[in-house]
Amino acid sequence: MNNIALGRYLPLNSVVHKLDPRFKIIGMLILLVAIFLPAGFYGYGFLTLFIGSVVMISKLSFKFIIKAMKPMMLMLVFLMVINIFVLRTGYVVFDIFGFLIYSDAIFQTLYISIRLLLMIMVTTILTATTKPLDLTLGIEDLLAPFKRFKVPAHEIAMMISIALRFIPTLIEETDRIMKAQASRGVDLAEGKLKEKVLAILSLIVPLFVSSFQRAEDLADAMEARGYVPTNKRTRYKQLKRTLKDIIMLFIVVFVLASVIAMVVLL
Amino acid sequence: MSYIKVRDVSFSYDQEVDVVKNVSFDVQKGTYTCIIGHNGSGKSSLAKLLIGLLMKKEGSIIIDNDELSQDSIDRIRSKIGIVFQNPDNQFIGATVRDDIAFGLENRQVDPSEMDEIIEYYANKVNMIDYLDHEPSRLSGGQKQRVAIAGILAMKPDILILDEATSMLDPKGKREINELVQELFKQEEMTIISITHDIEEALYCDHLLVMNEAKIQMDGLAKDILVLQEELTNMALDVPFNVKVSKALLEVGIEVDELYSLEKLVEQI
Amino acid sequence: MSITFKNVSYEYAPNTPFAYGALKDVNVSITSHKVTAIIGATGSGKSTLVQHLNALLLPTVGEVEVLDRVIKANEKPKKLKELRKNVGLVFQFPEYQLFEETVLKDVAFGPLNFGLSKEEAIEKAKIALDIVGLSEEYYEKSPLDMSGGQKRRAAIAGILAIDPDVLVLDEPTAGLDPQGSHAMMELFIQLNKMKNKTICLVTHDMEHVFNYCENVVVIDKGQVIYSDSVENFFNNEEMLNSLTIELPKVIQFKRLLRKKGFTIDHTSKTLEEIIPQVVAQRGDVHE
Repeated sequence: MNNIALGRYLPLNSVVHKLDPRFKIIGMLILLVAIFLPAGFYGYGFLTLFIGSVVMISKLSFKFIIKAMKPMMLMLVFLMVINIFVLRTGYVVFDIFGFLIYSDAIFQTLYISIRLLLMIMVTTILTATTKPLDLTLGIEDLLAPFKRFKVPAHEIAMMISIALRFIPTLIEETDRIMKAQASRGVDLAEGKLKEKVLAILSLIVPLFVSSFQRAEDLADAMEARGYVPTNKRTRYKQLKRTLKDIIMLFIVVFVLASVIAMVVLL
Repeated sequence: MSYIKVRDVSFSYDQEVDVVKNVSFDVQKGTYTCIIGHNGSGKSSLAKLLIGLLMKKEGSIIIDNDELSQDSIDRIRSKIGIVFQNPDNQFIGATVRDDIAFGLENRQVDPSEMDEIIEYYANKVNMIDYLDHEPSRLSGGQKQRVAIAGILAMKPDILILDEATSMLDPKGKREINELVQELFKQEEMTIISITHDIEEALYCDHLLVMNEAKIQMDGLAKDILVLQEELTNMALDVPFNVKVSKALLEVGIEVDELYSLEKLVEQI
Repeated sequence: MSITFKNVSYEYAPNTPFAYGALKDVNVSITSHKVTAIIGATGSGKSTLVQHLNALLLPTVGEVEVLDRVIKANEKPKKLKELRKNVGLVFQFPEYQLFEETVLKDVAFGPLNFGLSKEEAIEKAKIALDIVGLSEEYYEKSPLDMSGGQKRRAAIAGILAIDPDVLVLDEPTAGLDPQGSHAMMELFIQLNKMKNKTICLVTHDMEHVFNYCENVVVIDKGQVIYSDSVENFFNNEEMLNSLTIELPKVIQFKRLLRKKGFTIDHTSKTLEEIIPQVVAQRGDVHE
């Protein structure tokens, strides 16, 4: 669990950590738009510098970012190989024993790669600097205006927060079930396919069964405490915006504007 | 006038077998009622019927002059709090604070007033030092105390405990039993405790014995708990003091103390 | 041939900020073919201790001798499956491990994993179900379609079908009503007497310890602070006073009688044994 960098929250103490989640989400979305514009060499250079600085301000180590990008690496290599065979336009860059590699193939791959990498950096900054529950609150508040379009903002947020609350409980339970079944001779390392399937079932079925029971009990408890999903209710945790949030948003919008300018002028 | 009136209530899960059959009883305001019975006798279903989590198919339930129905259910739920058996499966919030806030959110309490209320009730159940703890760091007894705090914050008159201590270790059981006793005395609440613990039943004001979906006995603990043969036939245990009294009586020694073993021995 | 812990320490999450020493230099023996209770406050290390018995956990330091093999620190034992076959561990609320389509299949799951043929496994399953009192009518039922008590019995049958020599149970009566609780304890005593199995019981219930167990091991904060017969334990005033346990009612009764001047035999366990002594001495005590 501790080796997964993508999506993980790091409890550090930076300016970015303290920003309002709503603004961070919007900021991320704006940056994503900027990343997907055909910004060209200077554009991407500028974006990389900017996003790189944000990474540093967030006190995240680049090692952490690289870890988050690891899953993508294989895909990018694969992409490069395909492009080399498929894209045969532009000028020749390499000649390997008669096999020609063209510039368009290389630049296309580079563009896609840089977009992907910047995208991962931006989303990682968001999840690494924002507690999952705060993220949920931010999402709930941002979706709230869409309630008139029947988007169940509150219910979605409630589901996410309950799921988050139960993650440690579920991990513990999985551990218990694995040990209980190990005591009955379950060994995932050995056995024919049929036995392995049964072994996996012996872990999954009990988890599902207890989760359904848990859901029923929780629903009873919530109902008994007066919860009606469609009713109006207040919310204990309130998000407060500060000047820093607004400044951050201006900066990000400025970045987007700059990129657009570069697209148009260059 | 009875505070809670249950008349001829029946309920079935599968339309074939009744898990609660023609149950009738009264509960007076400010009393401590225990409901005991073997596993499967219908006690937990009865608790859920009282708070409308299950809908009776027959009969009536009247709480504080209000008949329980789809219309009155929200009103009635504001008067009753229920603590369930599994400490994890009723802990909704991410932390103690958030969990106590849950009920307040449902009642549309102003968020700016919530902190004070949360701290007050957390203090009442001795969990004030754990406000920002996540449930994974709490013991069963602590989680149940948080459940009680969350319920108290909604100021109910009636507290139902549905085997609230059966999944706890002895320390947790003691904590909760003491807390409930304290609340009973201080807050003058009406308490209905569904329990296996025959020793707890000894101290209640009013005892109901359920057996196979029906109320078999209804009266005072001291009258019912001496009926050793009947209780054993219903797969129930008898308090130790009763066993001692009976054994002594058989050899000609009469004692009439039921509650304190010390006083009982004094009489030998 | 007993079970022996030699200088066993166990640390959860070593070398991390979450490192926690659950067992600290434990030295204790559990006598074969007897019923031993393991008691201690929640978090004292009881569960950690018993999970060493079938190598679910390996000692960080020290070694555990179980049956005829030695489990060494941080070394996965060879022939692990054989160990697991001979030391059956039943966790708390074991009904959560049921998963098969029918009760019979679920109980046969264990034996199948340990190499028995399908026919043999079913046979063992039927025997085990008979031992726990679940008759033929339950064979084809879905395990999820039974009452809590029945599910518990089916889960325990699942371990009994493996026919281990050592049976370790973590709070087997938790959540059961009094009658179910007694029936379950009687079952374990039967297994001990009839089949000579070593029974290890992690429990909080002092009545059970008093009425059904022969030996007791007391754990506190990761260390074994007492290991002796149950009889000696309940006659050890100092030990009893240092622990915050609810004494069995019979013991409380005996104490009160002694305070009043009666001399009650140390070995008396039931009211049937105590009352005659009261009758006999009553006259003298009243003088």
